[in-house]
Amino acid sequence: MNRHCGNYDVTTTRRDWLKHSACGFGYMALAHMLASGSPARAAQAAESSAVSAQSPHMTPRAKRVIFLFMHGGPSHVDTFDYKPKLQTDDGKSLPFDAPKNISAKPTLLASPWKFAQHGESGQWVSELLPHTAAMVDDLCVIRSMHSRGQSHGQAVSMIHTGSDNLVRPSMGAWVSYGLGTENADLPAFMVLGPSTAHGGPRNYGSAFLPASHQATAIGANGSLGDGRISNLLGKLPRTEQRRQLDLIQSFNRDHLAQAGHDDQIEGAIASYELAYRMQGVAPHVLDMSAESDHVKDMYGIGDKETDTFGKLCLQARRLAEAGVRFIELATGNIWDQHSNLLKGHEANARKTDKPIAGLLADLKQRGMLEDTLVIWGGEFGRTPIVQGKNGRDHNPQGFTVWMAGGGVKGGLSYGETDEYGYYAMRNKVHMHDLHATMLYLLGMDHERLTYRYAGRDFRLTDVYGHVVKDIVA
Amino acid sequence: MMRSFGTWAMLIVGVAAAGAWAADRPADDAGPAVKVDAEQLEFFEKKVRPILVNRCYGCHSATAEKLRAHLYLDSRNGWMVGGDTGAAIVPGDPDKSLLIKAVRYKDENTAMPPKRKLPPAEIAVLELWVANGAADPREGGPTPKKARVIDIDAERGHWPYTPATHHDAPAVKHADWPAGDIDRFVLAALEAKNLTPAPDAEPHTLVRRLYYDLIGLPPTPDQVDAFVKEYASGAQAAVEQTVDRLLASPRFGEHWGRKWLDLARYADTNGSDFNATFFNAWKYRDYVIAAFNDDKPYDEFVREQIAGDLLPRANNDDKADAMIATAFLMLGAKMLSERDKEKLRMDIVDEQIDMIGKSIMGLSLGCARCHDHKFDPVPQTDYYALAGIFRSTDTIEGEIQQYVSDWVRRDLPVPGEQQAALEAYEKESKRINGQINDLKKKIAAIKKQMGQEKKVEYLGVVVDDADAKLVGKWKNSTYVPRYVGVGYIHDNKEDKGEKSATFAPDLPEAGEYEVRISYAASPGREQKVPVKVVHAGGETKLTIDESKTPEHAGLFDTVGRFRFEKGRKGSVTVSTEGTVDYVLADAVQFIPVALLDGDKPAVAKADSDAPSDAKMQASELYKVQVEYEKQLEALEKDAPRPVPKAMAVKESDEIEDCRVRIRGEAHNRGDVAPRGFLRVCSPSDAAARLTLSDGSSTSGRAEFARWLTRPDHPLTARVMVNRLWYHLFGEGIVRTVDNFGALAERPSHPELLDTLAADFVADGWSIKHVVRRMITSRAYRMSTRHDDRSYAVDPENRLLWRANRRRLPAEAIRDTLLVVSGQLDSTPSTEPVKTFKKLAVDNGNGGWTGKLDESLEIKRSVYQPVVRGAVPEMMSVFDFADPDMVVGRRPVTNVPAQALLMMNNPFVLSCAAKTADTLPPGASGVDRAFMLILNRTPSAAERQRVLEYIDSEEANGVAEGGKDSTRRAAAWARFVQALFASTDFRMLD
Repeated sequence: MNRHCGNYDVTTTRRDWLKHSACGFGYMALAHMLASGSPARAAQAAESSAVSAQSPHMTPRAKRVIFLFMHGGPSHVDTFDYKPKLQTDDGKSLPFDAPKNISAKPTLLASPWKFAQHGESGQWVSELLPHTAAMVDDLCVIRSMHSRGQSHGQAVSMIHTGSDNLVRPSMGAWVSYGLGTENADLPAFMVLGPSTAHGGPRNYGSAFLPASHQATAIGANGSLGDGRISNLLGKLPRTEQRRQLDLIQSFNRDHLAQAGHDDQIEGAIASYELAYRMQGVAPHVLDMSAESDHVKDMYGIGDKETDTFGKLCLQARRLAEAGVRFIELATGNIWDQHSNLLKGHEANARKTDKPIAGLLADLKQRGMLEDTLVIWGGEFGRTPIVQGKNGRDHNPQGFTVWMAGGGVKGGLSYGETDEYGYYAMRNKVHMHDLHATMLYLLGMDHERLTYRYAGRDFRLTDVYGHVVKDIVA
Repeated sequence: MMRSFGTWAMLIVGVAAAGAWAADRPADDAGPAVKVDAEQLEFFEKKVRPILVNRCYGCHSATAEKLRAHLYLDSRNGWMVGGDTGAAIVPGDPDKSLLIKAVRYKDENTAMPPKRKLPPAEIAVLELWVANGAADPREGGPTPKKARVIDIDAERGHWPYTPATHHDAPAVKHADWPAGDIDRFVLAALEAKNLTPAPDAEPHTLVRRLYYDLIGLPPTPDQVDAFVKEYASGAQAAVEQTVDRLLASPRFGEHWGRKWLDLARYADTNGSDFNATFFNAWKYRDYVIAAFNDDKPYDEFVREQIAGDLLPRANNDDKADAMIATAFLMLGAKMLSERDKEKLRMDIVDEQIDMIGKSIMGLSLGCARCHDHKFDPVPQTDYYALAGIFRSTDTIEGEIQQYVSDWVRRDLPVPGEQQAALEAYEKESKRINGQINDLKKKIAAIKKQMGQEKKVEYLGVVVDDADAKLVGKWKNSTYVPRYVGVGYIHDNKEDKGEKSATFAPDLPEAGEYEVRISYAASPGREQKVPVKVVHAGGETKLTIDESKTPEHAGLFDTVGRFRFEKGRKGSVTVSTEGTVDYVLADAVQFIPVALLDGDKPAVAKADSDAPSDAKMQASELYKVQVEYEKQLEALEKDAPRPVPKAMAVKESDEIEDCRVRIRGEAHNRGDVAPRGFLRVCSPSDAAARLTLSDGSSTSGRAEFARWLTRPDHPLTARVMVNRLWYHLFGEGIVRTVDNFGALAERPSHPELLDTLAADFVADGWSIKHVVRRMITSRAYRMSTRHDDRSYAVDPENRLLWRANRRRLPAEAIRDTLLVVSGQLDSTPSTEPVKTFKKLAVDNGNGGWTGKLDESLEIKRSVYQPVVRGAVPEMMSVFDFADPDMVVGRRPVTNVPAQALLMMNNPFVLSCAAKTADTLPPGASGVDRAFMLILNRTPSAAERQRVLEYIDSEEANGVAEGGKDSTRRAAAWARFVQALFASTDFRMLD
């Protein structure tokens, strides 16, 4: 085994290890650190993985994650968190203090949408999301989320990295670091249509983890753009590119022969071959044209309103199928309705509701929902009190996130906010807890998935986080 | 927040540490046995114990599945000693008892139990129990763990906290190998392991190394030839001569300054949540480059960056430089939109302390924000002693917009005559503005009187431009004589898209209104002026043509009919978005449709167009006002050059010691930590105290800067010489270059490191001197050749039995491509981000707010702006330093993205094609390309292989198609590109 080669080469080894030995997770993190090619890092790796270089932490219930990021903060009291008292007390004063530093007035604003119970589970969903409502028996709706960050920047960073102020690796980078990829020819962590605002790449970056764990991005701000991975394809036909590659590799092999022995040169040689293989594989994975019309219809592809987000969702399923470990897709910063709640949320719901329900149904019909954890949520929810005439302000004090598949209980509403939906009250789930639970479902102990940097072992959950076992199936 | 009691118990640690940091009491000192009377016993057993058992034992007892933070609540001893240290209860004082604070749930971060607040009755019981003395009959119980004690005095005697001293070089067996003392240290260590140094590198390899290491650019073919010749007649002399020439080159500072910029997390934008443009950051960049070129003593360089604004300087230029240097403290990515400004302030202080710790002292001081450092001898109180200094320094000031903080900008000193001109200008500007304001007031007073009159004149409600809410700079005018009030405004065809005027009426009742607009029409006005009407049914956007004469009495034009609510809810906004010609705004009229008579509605209720005296008077005054405005404009046109600004810190208005923040929470205040420095890096505790001269109330930054650069500071010089060594040898003597603490690797050559550090200080902290010393050593000159026997003994090459093979940094790769393709523009860039707006990246649509100047594309990489969140791929793929972090050691990765970029990136392709165009045909072309890119001639086999490849591509290549000449050029370009992609080029042998 070549210890000092690139990321993707190591994944091949990793798969072999999964096949041939019980030694799973901790070993991978070690191999990954060795892969950076620096002896200092390797020494560091040996040191920091001493705690984790053993059997997988626990039985994984999910193999991969699809994270649907509703950037801007969808309103929980208008979607999943039904509050009858908010409806009857419209226009009255909030009977308790609102948090500091917000622009909303302390006047309650009833939801303009009707709520109804759906499915066998009878969970409440508003008329804003009819398609998601039809899948409600698969959803585990956490209505008692709370997080840090009254502004977007902090809260977006919090949901992605577990820190509202410091530069930390994204949860996808942690998952890539912990589990690697299932497909050596594709990256482990990909983002589709990531937001460039509120931190941009920092939210899907690797920070101090090796750079190979940062996300590979396609498109931006809620759209796939040209749908391509940067530099994946050039002008040359494949045969000519191969001939040029052969020339490059002949120089590299000469260099290696002259050097006698060098892990870095070997790693570079391997990475050229991997790049070439990626060029063969990735375009097929990314090409959605072969999907049937029936499937495309499920995602709303071809309909003006749902086409853009539908394509993101379908692409996510294709990447999941191909073995990408963590896929994030983002709506762009569209949910921030400080005003015009009615119009704004209706437009956003029309854009995303059907594609998301389509994704869930498609995963389900392919038997993939069992081991794919789907997470839906924004950086925070919105206030039950009014901002301006018809808007809602930011609400990290209480909001809703749902999860589906991958080992969570479907048809469950977990936790509660107060009677108006402002503060999380019962069975509160902090963002750190959500992260801990996500890692748990992937078979990792959030307290043991660590990386040593600048003399300290870092975790996604910092020194916080509890696994919410109540929602684990 | 779902939190363990662990968090809470850590908080106790914090308190104890803050009070007296050696305050952990031995467990047996937990107090005398307490007598509990019968009544108290009954209360405890019946009321208190059940609460503790049911609510707390799950995490805080001997039976807990997992004990949280070593805190036991199942014995009296447990809570008296507390978790790691400190007491959980102060008997008799509920308000001071952390257990009571926790169950009161006032602070989310310390609230207990984590899942749900206790019922009020239970809280009341616990409060009463504590208030009455917390009588507790439960004896025994496990002894809680003690906290680690930091023994500063002992640590001062250990590496790396002992001052570095000079050691004489050891004797060596092979006395003819060393070129200097560095080599004797290296060789002695090798000989001790029975190893021998690798032979010298080939001269063409060495010259490549020298150029890239000193200036980050390749030698030209002529420079390679000249060096090889000189080398043949004397290796040492050839090296020294070349080194001296390169050290004197301005390219030296560009290359080495960039390494410092990695540490300074240099960027031209804020990044983070609010990617604001740092318009003046480049001045700091240039300061750093100049400091390296001028060989500014390192101690001075450090002092200026910490406290340049406070240091005495003889002339304006030096004052300006020292001020600019403090941008070092400001360049971090700040969460500017954090609404909790106290938290933001503490976060910024933390970033500054952590950054200084890592970059200058090689210590991770950020770890001591929440608790005593877990590994290094840095108690939390030392951290807050420093925090007091930086809290007394302003980094942020004011707001860019609601909730979003702005940062400090300071005036740079200017020459006397400019200063005088500026003062005269400001005086005159003030005078004219005063006149204008007087006139405005007079006109307003007259208009107030006229108020009644106005209502008679026009139907419905009229909002004049004087009452509109204006965004951007509008100009007043009376040029076209048809207008409402005393004049109108226009945009002067400037700042298109940034101006708007909003007319919001106070409507007497709800209903349908006809909206009309007045705009002093004349030809040459904008024909598509965007107008937005906010009405009861939402928003309507349309455009109006201001070049055409309005239909109603030549004054008003109908916009449409809309329903409005009563009061001030509706509005009409005229904006300049997308316009080219003059945009005007005069007045907007809202007429209830019921008042409109048939289809030919009148302008006024009554025909009272005759101007009143008052109106005449106001108009006259207004004309004077317009005259003054013209004067002002003329003055501004010839204004003296404005005072240049810099991103620089300033002393705060509130200079004060900082309170320890328990658990690092901004609002959780503990005891005051008097301002001071790290005790472990000071010869004594007294030397770590901040002593200000009498009457001085400064932050202490200047004193801190001097303390950091004391000749006997154990870390500052060691860390820096180790960085220089790392950059030249590929590994540090201490490999963890940013961490010299307990978790650092021990130095491979401790005496060499100490000698280099001590000599560095003794030689006046000259960086060029140390670099010269290292790079002219024999050790530097070794080949990278592999050797099985040495490898078996020392596989990681810690003892330096050969040179380490290194990567070319991203900048060197890009700059070389520009050089060999003949494109490089080696002039610096000034104001590289001036085309951006306040935000470099818009938070709404996520796009850049300006296009970078094209001239930047061919400048050295160090002169390209660093836009956080958008580092160019050409840089980031090749491991450019993440500008969000302090990077002393860039990561070294081998990922397919690098291969893909080299194979397919348009910039690489274009540089390859341009380089190929310069090559002579045939074998000499191949030789020339090798010499340009790899700085050597190809072997016969390589030459042959390349020629065959080119011939074959020319014959078979289909990509470019077409003419033979095109195919030929394409084949050569592909070969050049293959050289760019080769490891031979990307690595430094």
